[in-house]
Amino acid sequence: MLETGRENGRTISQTFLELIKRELLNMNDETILNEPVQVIAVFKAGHHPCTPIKFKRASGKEVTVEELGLRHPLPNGLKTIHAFDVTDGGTDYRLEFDSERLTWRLTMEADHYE
Amino acid sequence: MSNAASSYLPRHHEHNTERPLIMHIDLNSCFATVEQQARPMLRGKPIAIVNRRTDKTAIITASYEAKAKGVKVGMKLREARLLCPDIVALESDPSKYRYVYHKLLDIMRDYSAHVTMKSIDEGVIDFHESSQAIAGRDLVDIGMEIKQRLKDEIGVWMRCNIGISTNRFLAKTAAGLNKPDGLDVITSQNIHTVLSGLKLTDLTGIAHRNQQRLNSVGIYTSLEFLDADPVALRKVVFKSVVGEWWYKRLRGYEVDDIETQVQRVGRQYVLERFDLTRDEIVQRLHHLCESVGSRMRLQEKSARGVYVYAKTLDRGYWHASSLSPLPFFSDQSIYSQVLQLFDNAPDGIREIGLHCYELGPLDMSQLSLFADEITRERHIVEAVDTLNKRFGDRTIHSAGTLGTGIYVRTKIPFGSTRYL
Repeated sequence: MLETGRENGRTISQTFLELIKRELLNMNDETILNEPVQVIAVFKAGHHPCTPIKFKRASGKEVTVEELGLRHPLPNGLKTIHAFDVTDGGTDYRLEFDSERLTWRLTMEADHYE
Repeated sequence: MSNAASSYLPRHHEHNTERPLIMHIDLNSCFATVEQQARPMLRGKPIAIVNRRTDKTAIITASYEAKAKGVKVGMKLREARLLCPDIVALESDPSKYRYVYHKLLDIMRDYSAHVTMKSIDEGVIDFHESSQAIAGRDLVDIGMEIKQRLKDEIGVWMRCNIGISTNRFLAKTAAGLNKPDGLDVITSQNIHTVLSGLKLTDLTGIAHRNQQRLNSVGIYTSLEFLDADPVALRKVVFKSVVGEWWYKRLRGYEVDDIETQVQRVGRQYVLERFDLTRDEIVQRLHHLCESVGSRMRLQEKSARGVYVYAKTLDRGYWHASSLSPLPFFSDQSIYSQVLQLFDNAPDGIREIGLHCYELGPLDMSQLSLFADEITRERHIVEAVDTLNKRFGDRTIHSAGTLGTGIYVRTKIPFGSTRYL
């Protein structure tokens, strides 16, 4: 482990601290949420017919979507929930759109130990 | 088209010289690439996909960045973190991979009606019966077009390997020549050059045991394998018609376009902790029974046999099975048989699994003395299945499996696309 630390250009203590941090966090880089959010989305023709461009969290914080990573349906019986994995350029988020109720929720936030 | 059953045996220097019309498409490090597509902040970073986020879990896919640091599929996450401390472990997210699978399938079906998905991340297009507008085009151009469509229709990070040849085996071999994002063609003109750069174990289907068989008759390289005598392959090396199939396969003749029949439906589960009580293990087994029953009915099958196994912490393997005279299909009937069999299972279990076999159609034409009982059971099962289909999996399930859903979630069905 210590050899590996040197090989990757880190000091031994940096590697050790990184591993301890991950152990303490139980490797969990994701925060699972179920937060109603207000979303501005663009609906258009093409392969990606719906793209969220901005959302406002319950705290009032506004997040501008820099890129839509992937949109995919989530299995939930006959009801379709669309998951949008997006990023603001620093953090990845998952927004879920309930096509029956027409509501948006923020369900995941991940920073990948930046 | 298939030569598998054909008695025709090409002469030693005869290779299939027809136009290559088989295309193999393989998504690169599929699950890791899809996660990097979904989460742009992970692109260019070493990531590993695991089924459970524990140190002892095995890696099911690693990104190319992780592979470059020596991380391999099947390696324990703990070992991977020693090689690559920066690795980000993500739990698999089957709904994403299913979506990408269906998008890939849609794209492939635009080019031919003869598309076969070999697994969740690879498929084959057979252009033999495509329209002239498609088959008349250069297949390399079509390959490039498919690569671009993956980026346009799914996302910019998506990449795939494409191989083109005269049969499925050589097309797959071609797809593996230049990872990632390669596109290669194997023809009768370049087959010797290609094989000269491949070890025996680089060939799909030649693993350690087959390699030993070949070595035992002095075949150490792929070119020597190509030059081998068909009689020796059949009678000495493989001791069956398989030897002849290899002789044809390496010469570009098709022997692998066989449709496989569903023989059994099953599930397995590695316990989340190894100190669970017997009741807790049985609860998880019950969950597996419900899952297997649901899958079986989805395919409109019933079964007559059930097989249950347990792997123990001391690397032991226990199994038991029972065969019934009448077909069964309900979760309850599977569970009651499994429960009876599991009574004899040993202690110290680390993995459990079961499968149903002797499958037949769910519509039972033969009535038995118990027909009324079976009909009533079937109506109940149908009502439960309808509700679960309408409101989502496991909306209704037995009280015995309450709370097991967070552990025994469905993971990625490797090697099978039946439930996608």
